[in-house]
Amino acid sequence: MRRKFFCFTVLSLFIVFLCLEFPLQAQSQTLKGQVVDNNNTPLIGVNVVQKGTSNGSVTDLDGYFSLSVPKNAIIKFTYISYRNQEIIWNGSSDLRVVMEEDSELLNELVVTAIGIKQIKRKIGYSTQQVKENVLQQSNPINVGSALSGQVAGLRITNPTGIFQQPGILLRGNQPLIVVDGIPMESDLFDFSANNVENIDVLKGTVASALYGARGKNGAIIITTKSAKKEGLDINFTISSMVSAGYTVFPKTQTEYGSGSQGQYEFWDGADGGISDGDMTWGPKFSPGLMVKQWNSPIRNKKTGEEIPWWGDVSGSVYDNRALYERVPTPFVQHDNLKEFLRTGVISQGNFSIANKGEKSQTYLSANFAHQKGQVPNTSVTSGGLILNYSANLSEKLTLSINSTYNKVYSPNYPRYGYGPKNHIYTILLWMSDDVDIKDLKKHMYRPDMEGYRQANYNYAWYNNPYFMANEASQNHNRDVLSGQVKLVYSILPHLKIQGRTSARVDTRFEDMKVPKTYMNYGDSRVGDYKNWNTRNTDFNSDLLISYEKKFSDVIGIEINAGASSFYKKYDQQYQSTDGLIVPKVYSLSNTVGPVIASNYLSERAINSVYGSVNIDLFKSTYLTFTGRKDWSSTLPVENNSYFYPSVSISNVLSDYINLPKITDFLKIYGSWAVVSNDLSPYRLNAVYNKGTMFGNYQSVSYPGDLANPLIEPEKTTSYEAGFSTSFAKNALSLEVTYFHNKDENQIINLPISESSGFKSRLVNGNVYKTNGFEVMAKVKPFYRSKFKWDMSVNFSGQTKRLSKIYNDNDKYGDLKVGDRADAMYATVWQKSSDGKLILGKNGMPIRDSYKQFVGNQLPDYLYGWHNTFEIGRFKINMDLDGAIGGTLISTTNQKMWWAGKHPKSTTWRDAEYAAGKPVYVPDGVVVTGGELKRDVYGNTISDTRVYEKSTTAVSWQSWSQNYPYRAVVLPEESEEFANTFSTSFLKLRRLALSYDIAELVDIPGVSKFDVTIFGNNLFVLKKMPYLDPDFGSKDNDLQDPSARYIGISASVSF
Amino acid sequence: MKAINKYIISLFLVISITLFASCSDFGDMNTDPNKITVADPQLLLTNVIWSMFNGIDQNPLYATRVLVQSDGENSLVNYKWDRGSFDAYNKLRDVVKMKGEAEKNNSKGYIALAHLFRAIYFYDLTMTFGDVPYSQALKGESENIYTPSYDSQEQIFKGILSELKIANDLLQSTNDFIKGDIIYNGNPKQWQKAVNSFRLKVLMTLSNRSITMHEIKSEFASIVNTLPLISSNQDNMQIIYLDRQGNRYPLFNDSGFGSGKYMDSTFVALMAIIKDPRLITFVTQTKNALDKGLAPDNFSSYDGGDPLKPYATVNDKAVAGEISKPHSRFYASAVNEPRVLISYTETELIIAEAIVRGWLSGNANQRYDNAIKASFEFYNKYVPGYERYLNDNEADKYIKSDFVNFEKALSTDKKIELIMIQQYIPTIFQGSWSAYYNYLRTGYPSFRLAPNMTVPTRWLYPQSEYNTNKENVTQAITHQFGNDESIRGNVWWLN
Repeated sequence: MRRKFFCFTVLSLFIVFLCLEFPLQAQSQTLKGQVVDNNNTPLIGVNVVQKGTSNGSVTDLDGYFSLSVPKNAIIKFTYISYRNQEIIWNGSSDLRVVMEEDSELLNELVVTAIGIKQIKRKIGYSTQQVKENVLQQSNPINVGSALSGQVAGLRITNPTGIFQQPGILLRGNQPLIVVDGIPMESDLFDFSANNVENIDVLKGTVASALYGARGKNGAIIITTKSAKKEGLDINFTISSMVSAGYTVFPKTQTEYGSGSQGQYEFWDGADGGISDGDMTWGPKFSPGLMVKQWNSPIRNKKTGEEIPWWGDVSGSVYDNRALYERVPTPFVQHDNLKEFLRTGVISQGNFSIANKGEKSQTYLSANFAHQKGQVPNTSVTSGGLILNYSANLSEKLTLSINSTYNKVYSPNYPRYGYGPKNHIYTILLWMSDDVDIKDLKKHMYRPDMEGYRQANYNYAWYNNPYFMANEASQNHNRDVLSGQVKLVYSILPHLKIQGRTSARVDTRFEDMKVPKTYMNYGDSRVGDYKNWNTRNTDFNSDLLISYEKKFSDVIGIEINAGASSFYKKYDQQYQSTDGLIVPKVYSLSNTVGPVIASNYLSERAINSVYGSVNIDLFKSTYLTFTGRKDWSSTLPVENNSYFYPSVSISNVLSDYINLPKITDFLKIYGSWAVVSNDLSPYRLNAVYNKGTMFGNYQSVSYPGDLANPLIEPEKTTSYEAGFSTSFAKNALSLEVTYFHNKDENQIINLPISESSGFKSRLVNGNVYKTNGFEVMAKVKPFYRSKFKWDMSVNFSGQTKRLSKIYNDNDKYGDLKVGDRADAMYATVWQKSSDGKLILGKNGMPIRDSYKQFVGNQLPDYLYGWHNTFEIGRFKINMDLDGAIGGTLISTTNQKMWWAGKHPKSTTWRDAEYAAGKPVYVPDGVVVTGGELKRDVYGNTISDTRVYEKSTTAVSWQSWSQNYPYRAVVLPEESEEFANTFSTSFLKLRRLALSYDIAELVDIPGVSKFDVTIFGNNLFVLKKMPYLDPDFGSKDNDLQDPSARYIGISASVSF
Repeated sequence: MKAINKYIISLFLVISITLFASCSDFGDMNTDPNKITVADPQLLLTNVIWSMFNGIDQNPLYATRVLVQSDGENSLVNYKWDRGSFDAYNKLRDVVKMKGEAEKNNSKGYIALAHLFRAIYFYDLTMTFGDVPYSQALKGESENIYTPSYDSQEQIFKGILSELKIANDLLQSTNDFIKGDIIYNGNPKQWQKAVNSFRLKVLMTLSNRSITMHEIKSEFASIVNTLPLISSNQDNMQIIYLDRQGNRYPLFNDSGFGSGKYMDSTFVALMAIIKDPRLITFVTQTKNALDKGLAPDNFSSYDGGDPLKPYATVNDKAVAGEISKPHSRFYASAVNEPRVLISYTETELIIAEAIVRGWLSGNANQRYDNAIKASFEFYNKYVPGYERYLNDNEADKYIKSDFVNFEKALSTDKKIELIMIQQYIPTIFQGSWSAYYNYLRTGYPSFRLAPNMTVPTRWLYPQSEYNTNKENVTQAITHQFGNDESIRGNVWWLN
């Protein structure tokens, strides 16, 4: 009421002011007034200045000020974090000024390196914050996935399979992860998104210079929740989502079955029948076609007796072709991959209780998550407890304790990558549609060898997928315990000292159970049991002294000085059977040969001292100097310490320059830093590695990489510059950053002539230069009370180039100076000078013996586009993101061609089988004369070749198994046979609709009851067929179909 | 409260003292407690031998018309290969280390074996490429030579022969047991035999070198007449695989046998013509023969694919059930026959060839028969279940058969052909290029070639040499072939 009245008054006064005329000059009078914020809280220390003069004052403890000014003078009010205001004084004696908070962009509190909190306006480098609500919206099982597309310059690659770790690259490198001030290594499965208060991404080298070598690539700083508001706060969240169809599902041909050249007959699944070892180049499915298959009955040729059978007959009485034969059964198509995958379910629950009293706060939370995988018999469960407690032990002393326990458990999770252990490798690439996967499910063992021999359609390369899923398993059981104690002691009002010690122990037990006849490269075929015990221990201790003093309005200073010590120990024991005696008994004592065991230990420590000085000048210019010196245990004693300086400046130009009124503020910033890096333990001196144990003879071998006891630390020099601004009361805000990194003295394994006896030697060398930019924009296209639309967009790009090679060598691996560091050189087909495919006399393409540049691996640009609509009480979130550029040589596509599963591999089959001879004439030329001369790198010296069009017909199967398989084919060379694609994409990451029921129905005690319906991974536009580019290039791009998830979540606060 | 403050301050003090006290002193933290820096030569010897025998290269079988592939073009079958590998140098690294450790105590046995292994690997390297780094090679650690210069093939052969002589002399003068030896159980005298047999092989390789012929002949004769040689299968330089993890037959469980790998008609036809029962242990009967229930010693139950036809055609023949595959024992048995580097059979055949060539006098026929009998004995011993085809009687019968009988060979050329056929057969799944080099040298046994098809004499240098040792490799190419490096370049040992 009072406020309305006030507004009315101000407005009336304003109108009056407009209507009246005033004399140009007036005598000075005393202006008295109060400055408050939106909530009517008095603001202390607001600058009140008569514009254009040095006449000014500052508000007192109750927000009051007085100033002698002439009537009609323009009075300017400035205050940190609040928007500047100008008022023309009409002479009224009791002026009340309401200052509006400044843009979030300037006011945001950012957790910077070593836990120093800083408001954004003072920061001279690029950071970005991701808030709690964003993180929880998607209910990710791995918090890393929630960051997809959220942060300019941060690339998250999202795996499609269960318990696969998302890839996190910040400005192209792996950032440090810091949780509540403790740097740690984590795959983020041992961490619940529900416990995250917010995530600050410190993007550049400067931002994390205070973390030393470990923070060289920027840092992701996670702050967990603590009690925020006075009193008791209870929160309960549950969510559940299920896979609902696929955003990307690979297509395969469904017309032809197992075999080769249109023929197939099963005998032993290893080429003992007719092409039954491999491939989907067999007969066409047609009604009535009968073929001898793996599940066909066996018939005694003499007696005519039929025996039902599944699998081969090797070692049985039926292994006699003169006496027994398989009875042909219908050869029909089955949709095996869809049949095999089941609905994935992710359920999560989180309970938290927070209490904040006068002297202490406690936050206790328990969380639980369970994911049932799409692959049968797979799941991951995680759960944890977190306790954050802090108390003011005295007026000067604060104690904080943080302890967490997390468990990650998977009784079995799928094995990915290229090989027979992977269900996708098996079903997508190599299992033909004539194989009835339901029958494989019913018959996992051969009838006469239960437990001893799997029943399958193939015995050379593949496993029965159900046998693989149900009988083989890999188990992961992890306990992570971490704790931190922090004491802050305020010695003097401006001086405080903080000590902190933390430990994190990650203990893992993993094992792998392999049944008899399970096929995997490197695993026994007679059953196997392996286990690994791993313990990873981290200790971090640090001490920080902070001094803060504001000397006057003009200058303020903050000094931090500290020291820290980091110690890490990793040890692992591995033991394995050498074959199992009794099937299905997974015990080390059930071994045929001697138990194989090994152990590994590594230790590393870094000690550091560091300091920073922040200087605030004129309340608009902020300078920060930091320095850190590290001593690393992994470097030679004489070179084991290095110093990192950094300087950054931030300047809020709008505080002292008049900008068009529409501009809310303008901040410019710049920074420079040098950081160094050490190397992994034990690389200074060569030691013997354990070799094969032959019989009872032990052996050792000497490593092929020459060690270098004189190695020096790596060095990166980085600078960045940018600005942030906002217009029309935050209707549009913009932040733009440019950065440049120069990596030199890199510790590299320089390849040397193998004839030296060594493959490489460790040297300092090579220079890489990275240039990049990041743009973040926030727009409010509509902002009415009934309909609000908030939009944020980010766009970033960067390239890292090799700018100098060790010793000015011509090449470093395949790369030459000027190449992007992620440039890919690969085998291509020989082409004529005008780019036509060269074919041999036999009509087949010829591989170029020099690798050629085929593209850069990483995307050129990343972007994210996030929308929030508030329509009445409904809130809708729509997030899109993607990448532009990047190249993937797709193993999946290549192998699908080779295997005969590629949808386009059917084109000429019928015609050729009907003609009984090759009919397909590839488009290409044959060389009829002249020659091509090249230098040792394959560069053309002279080319006198002459060509004519090739007219030779080739076997379609041979062509498909060569041209799109054995070398790179880009879409521009052949749309039809391309196997290498751009990884550009646009993905509708999530769509969520939320509603607060508590606003509608008054439930006693419930303050908030949000219900959200959401969908994740909903839709993608892309250039690459069959695959989700969001996955990245891991595991030979063999990926589970990219599932679409829909779910519901409810969050209740009491 | 004050008391607490005291504790707090002391705590800070303790933390800060711990932090600052030992900034740069990490003790021996950066030393791996699980690894050793000084090794006894015996530990290296076991690894050197195992890495020499582990792995069976199947490429020579494609190049020598034993195998064909039905699921893809094979560049070896078509004689269109390009680059070779310098991996031998990586294996030589441990030999260098073993020699270094042995020299500390002047352990003659190990020093001798280091020379033998160097000779074996450098022989392989120079046969593969021609000129390769030899005198400056393997000195990356000891003398910081990262870009070794190349030696001419002639120099390398001289070096190999002189190293083998040193090995013989050292082994002659020691009776010390050589620990870690998984071939001869530490007996230096047996190693001496292997050294001398290998010397004969190296010398015989140079049979086309007319210029240096005199020295070759006399050295050869003097070795045969004065030094111990491998004189029975017990002396074979071979490894007997064990059914233990990491010690098994290298092709055990190799999936490659399950699809697309078939026999070449050249080999199968040759074996069928000479009715060689060893074929039964090498290949399977064709699907059609199995369906008909033909006996294993019915040689019409075996056939192969034509290496000159497009591989799709080979596939057609396979689909029709008319091609044999390599025997399933190669991937189904964990042990199989030993891998042999130099055998009694090979030694006898080399001497037989030398006698035929007139390098020394002796009974070539006897040597030839000994070689075949030993080969039968070898397969009979190590491939169980084939006794009835490989016993001594069968061997005697085979020796006397029309196409094998040495007495019936009248011309020198025919004799050489018979010897080469017997050199060729035991290279099946032995990972050896000997048969191919013998073919280059003598033209036997004759391979099926298309009109105008020639066989390569070498491999191109590895691409990595252009990247890491460009000047030297370029010089080596110029020295041997002028400007153009080719797989059909003229190599010294063949002229």
